[in-house]
Amino acid sequence: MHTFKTFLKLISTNIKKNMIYRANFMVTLLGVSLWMTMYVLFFEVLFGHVDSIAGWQKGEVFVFLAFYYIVQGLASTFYKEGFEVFDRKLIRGELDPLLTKPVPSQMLFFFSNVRIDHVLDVLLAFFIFAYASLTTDLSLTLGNLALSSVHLIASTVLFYHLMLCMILPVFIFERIEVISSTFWNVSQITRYPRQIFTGAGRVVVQFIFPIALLGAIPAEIALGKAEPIWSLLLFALTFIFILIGNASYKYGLSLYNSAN
Amino acid sequence: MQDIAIEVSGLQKTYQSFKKSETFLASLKDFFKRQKISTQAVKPTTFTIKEGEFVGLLGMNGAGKTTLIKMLTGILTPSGGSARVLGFSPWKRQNAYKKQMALVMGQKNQLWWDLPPIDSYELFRVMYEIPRKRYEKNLKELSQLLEMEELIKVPTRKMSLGQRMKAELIGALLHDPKVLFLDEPTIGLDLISQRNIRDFLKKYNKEKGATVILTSHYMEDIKELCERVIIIDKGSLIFDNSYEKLTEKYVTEKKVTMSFSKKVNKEKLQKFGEIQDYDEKSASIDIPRQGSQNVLAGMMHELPIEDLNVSEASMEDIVSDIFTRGLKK
Repeated sequence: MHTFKTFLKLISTNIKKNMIYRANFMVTLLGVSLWMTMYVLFFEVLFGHVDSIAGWQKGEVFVFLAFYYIVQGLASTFYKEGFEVFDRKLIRGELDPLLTKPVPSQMLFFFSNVRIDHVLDVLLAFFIFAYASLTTDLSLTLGNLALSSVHLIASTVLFYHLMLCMILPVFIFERIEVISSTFWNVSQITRYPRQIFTGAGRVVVQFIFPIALLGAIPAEIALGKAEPIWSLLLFALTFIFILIGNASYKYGLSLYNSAN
Repeated sequence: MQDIAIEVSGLQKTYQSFKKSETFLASLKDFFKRQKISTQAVKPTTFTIKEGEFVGLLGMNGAGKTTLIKMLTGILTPSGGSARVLGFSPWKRQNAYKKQMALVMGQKNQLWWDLPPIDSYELFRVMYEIPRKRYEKNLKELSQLLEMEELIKVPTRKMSLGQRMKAELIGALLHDPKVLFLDEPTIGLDLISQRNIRDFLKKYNKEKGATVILTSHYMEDIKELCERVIIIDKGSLIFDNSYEKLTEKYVTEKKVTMSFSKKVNKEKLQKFGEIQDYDEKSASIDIPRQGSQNVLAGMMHELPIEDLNVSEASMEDIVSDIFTRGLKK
């Protein structure tokens, strides 16, 4: 409860900080809107030529896209920037004061750079959803949508812990500037249906480093397309990566050498 | 009898790094094969600190003071030895320990840069689970003591260095820590700000009975605040006693500066002590500390003294002497 209360306070303090820079907020809004419009247009053009991609119809792809943007939007809002600045903070010893606070240090390291302007990613994802409902013959049930929301939370938790696993080399080698941005770039494959991957690549992105499941499973559940085994797999992998992520973080922290 | 607040036994820290070559070709070679170096930042160190003590940690840059403080606050995991602070092993990073201690670092900010300190304090209130009434009382008291009542509502980035340090101190003390670690809290501050912070710390330690460990480059801080001084040199503890003992043991001379009503021969002065500076109508000499009263009486009797000033070596001089010449056995 104490950790949760601190988390809420941390988020509200972050919102206050974000509010100071109004121009930044507006520019992000514009950027995100343009980016999403471009992406929707891209799929409109694509589906002008084909009926489906890897078994996904146009409306379904838009639903998939909306789920992808929700997962990415939540990550961008809450912890993406925290991970991006982590190696810089580590080298400069800026983690020192945070380690003396009576709350989980992960929360202070990764959730102290909340970007409330990226909530727009999530909001615009709902617009894509609305656009898909109006322009295609999608039939979504409330039950499936509720179930997919639970899976969406699992995906966001899994995404966080996948990023946490990537932090261990930063503790060991101290300076790996590209690790967060590389991971972020790799995570862009989340925007494509998992069925498009084949062979060993498919095994890797679904089971070993399950990045392809993040948007796909919640979307498939919303569309009533997922087998129950995939739902179980998402939760199992989330649990496994929570354990791996926290163990590697704990080990990494024991290697922390600070800076003068 | 006072209880033990900090107990350190054989605590040590070794850092691993790589030898860096100067030339381009050697750097290229290092890229493929590196030579590991172990640096013992803190050699096995043992001491205890009682509850309520105000202890100064002295040492040159890189002596190991900050590393020692970082181990005691749980930031660093030691390479060996043990330490108990308030009965806790610091590097286990238990919340129960963190709630009873505070760390203020002169060169690192804990407050949110873009927001007024009051917002950071609110976050600390929740973090440390400080009851609302106690929080408000402490905030009022601390901001009044440090004359910061209005400034805590101004964004941190708009404050001067001195104001920022005061704001940091308020944030660190809101939860009434039993042990306070201060790492160079007056660094870069002007004399007036240094004096204000010093006065505040003295009062705080007296009123709250908190154990305080202070590192500072300003000897005046140590001299005024610390009843006990620990000196660290190249990772080893080389002195641990009171400030008085430090001067008693290492200050063997007093400096006498005088001016004369008429010319005085150099030879006449030499029998009193070692001449440091001389012209016929003024001089500066070092006389032995022991028996200085008799020497001074003799000077007054034999020399045509117009004005006289007796001073002891400053804390800076003493410590610099210890570091350059080593400890006298």
